[in-house]
Amino acid sequence: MSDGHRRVRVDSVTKLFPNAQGGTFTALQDVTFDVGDFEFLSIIGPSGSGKTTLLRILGGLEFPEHGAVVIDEAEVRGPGRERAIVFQDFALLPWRSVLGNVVFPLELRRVAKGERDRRAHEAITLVGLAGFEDYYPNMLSGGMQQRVGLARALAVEPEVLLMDEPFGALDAQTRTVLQDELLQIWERDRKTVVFVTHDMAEAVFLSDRVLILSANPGTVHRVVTVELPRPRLDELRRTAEFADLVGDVWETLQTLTR
Amino acid sequence: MGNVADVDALSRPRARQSRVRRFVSGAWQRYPGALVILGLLILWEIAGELQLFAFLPSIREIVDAGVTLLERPDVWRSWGRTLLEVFVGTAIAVGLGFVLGVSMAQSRVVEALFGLYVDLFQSAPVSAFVPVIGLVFGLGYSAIVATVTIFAFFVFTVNTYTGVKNVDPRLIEMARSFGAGRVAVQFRVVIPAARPMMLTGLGLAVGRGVNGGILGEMLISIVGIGGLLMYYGGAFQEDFVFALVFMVLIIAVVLMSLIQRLADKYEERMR
Amino acid sequence: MDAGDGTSPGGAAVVQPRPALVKVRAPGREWWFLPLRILSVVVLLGAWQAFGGQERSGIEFLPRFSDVVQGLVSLVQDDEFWRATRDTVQVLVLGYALTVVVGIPIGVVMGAKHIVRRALRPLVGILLATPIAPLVPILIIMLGIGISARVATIFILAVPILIENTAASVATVPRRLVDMGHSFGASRRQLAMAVIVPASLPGIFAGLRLAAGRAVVGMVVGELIIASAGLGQLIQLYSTTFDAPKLFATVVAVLLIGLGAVQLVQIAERRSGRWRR
Repeated sequence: MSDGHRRVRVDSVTKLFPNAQGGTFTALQDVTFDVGDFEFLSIIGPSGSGKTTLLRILGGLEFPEHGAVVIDEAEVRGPGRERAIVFQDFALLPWRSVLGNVVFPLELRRVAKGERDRRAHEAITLVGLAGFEDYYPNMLSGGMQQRVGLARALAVEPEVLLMDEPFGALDAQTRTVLQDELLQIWERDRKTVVFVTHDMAEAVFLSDRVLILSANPGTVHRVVTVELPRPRLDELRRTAEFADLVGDVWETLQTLTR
Repeated sequence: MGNVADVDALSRPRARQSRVRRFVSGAWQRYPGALVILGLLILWEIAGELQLFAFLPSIREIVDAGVTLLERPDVWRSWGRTLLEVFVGTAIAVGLGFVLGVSMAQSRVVEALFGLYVDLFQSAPVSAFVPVIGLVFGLGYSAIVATVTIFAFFVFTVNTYTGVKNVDPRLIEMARSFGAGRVAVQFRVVIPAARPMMLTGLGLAVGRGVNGGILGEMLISIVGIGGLLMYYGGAFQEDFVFALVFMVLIIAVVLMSLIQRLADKYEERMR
Repeated sequence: MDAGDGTSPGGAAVVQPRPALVKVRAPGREWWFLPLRILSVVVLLGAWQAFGGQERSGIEFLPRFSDVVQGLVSLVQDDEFWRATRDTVQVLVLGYALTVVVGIPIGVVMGAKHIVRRALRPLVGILLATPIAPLVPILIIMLGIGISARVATIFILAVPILIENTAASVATVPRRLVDMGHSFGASRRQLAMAVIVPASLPGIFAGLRLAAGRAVVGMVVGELIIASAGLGQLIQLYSTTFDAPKLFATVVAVLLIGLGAVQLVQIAERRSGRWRR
């Protein structure tokens, strides 16, 4: 209880959805885990394991039928300033430029214009988009669009960053590049990160711990601790230790989908 | 004990009330659209019976007028005439529109020759032509048919054109790869794929055709249903006007939704 | 009647872009496309000139093209014509303004509230299918032959399409954008002003464009049947006096007003939608 390292506590969360037959379908059942301060935690699981639902509950966009999410000793009852989500399909406003998209949450919070622009430029530079401020989303590649999504989340300076399969819509090469960049940013400015993915190598490469969910209903099946040294660079992907860990996760997932 | 009886006595009417309320809210959840229309009709009836507005007949009066109209053979003859005009005019529009739409979508030459007019007149108020049609075609049957045709033609042409243009080119490639010739590609791939769009166009064309036919009758030759509308409107017999309007509305909606249903069926099958 | 009621449980009613108004493709890159187009106009006008001015079987009377041009020239010099035009445009503007002021709020509420959408869609559907011409005699009886019956004709014809389009585009604002706004703590007001309205603007503009087209139709139909003022009265006058050139010329003027009105809305639409290209 008095563990000061615990930033996020997910306490026996159960989430039900109505199904087509008028009954209910259990998306998540009794999911319990913690996320430590400045920890990078990945959630992985087969489709139907409710990992995106879990992230939406953490973000305050959905509410569990039972259980609770507690962040800094306060129960999550909706979206909050200490959290920011990076969305799977980017969710950029197509009528706003890159800069306009990044300042958007700051406008909502009525941050003064000078401060707003300063923070946005900083975040845009951090994700490597300096010079693209006036571009519109549809002029950018998928990888660049998600950099905007990341910059938008970083601009609000959240303590907890929630990432919902952020690189899932990108091609393999872009995905690798963005993983490397995300880690560099995170090394410089450590945050608590919850990262949902279906890519095992991605989960292992990025995380301190990988939480494996089982499907129908989604429950915590296993937690794999990744004790690879940081900072992690691209070369790590070609080491035996890395391959072993990915293999371990792979075998666990195999037993779940059988 | 007294306590229990009290609770019982209180709860019984409450239970009944909640059952009524449940029924009402259930009906509202299920058929909100129908209830809104029903509510409006009830309000109309009340306003009409109380004669709140000088020229608003009640629903009852309108129904009476409708029954009177349906008992008269000349009204049936007017309907026959109007529907025949609409049918012939729409058929001509569909025939011409099919040929023009398909060929415009497939040939840039045809598109260059005719695209401009289709583009201009699909959004232009063709009703402005009605007096001109009277001048060019005289005051007879052919003028009304021509009006219907002009009203229905452009919608159908544009829909056909768009339907053919949007046929997935991969399907055409596929058919070619199996050795289909130009004619086979047309009849087995392009036109079937464009059919839902054409049917949507047909539905819209019929709606516009009805509108055009009645407008033509009102403005050019005072015959058919349009003629009756002008007559009763001029005689300030608003119950008869309303009865006729409702008949026109019902026929137009029924025709259009029948065609739309056909279109939906095709589209469903293609998914 | 309207299958839209109850057949889309929970989901947003996705209204396909109205096929009838898909724009026929603009001139392409072929060098011969524009010359051919011009040729077709020249041939058409030439044929009109050669064919017109005489009575033929099946045709009562068609003035020659040059007669119509002359009619147009004399019309433009006629004060009566300009007074009628002013009157017509005034009614059009009034009717369209009323349509916009009433249609957009109703559409937004319908788009945002599922139950309201289900409650009003059948009614809007019936209004969309209602032939306008037979309603005009009723409007004359109820409102007289003054300006209000003509404004009402425009309104009744134009408002359902605007409501329908506004509701559909508000209802189909991508879920992820609403979630995103929500996740950054947007209030209801902020969400409406910063996300939902701008996201549904293309659809609302499409509705405004379609409504403008229908408003013009309402203007014409109203004036032709009511014929108490405006260009409609001139058309009636010239058609009863068999002044064919002036009749044709007035009809051309009406068509130009109609095309101009739709064009204006399209310009506004393009200005608002730079981000889409």
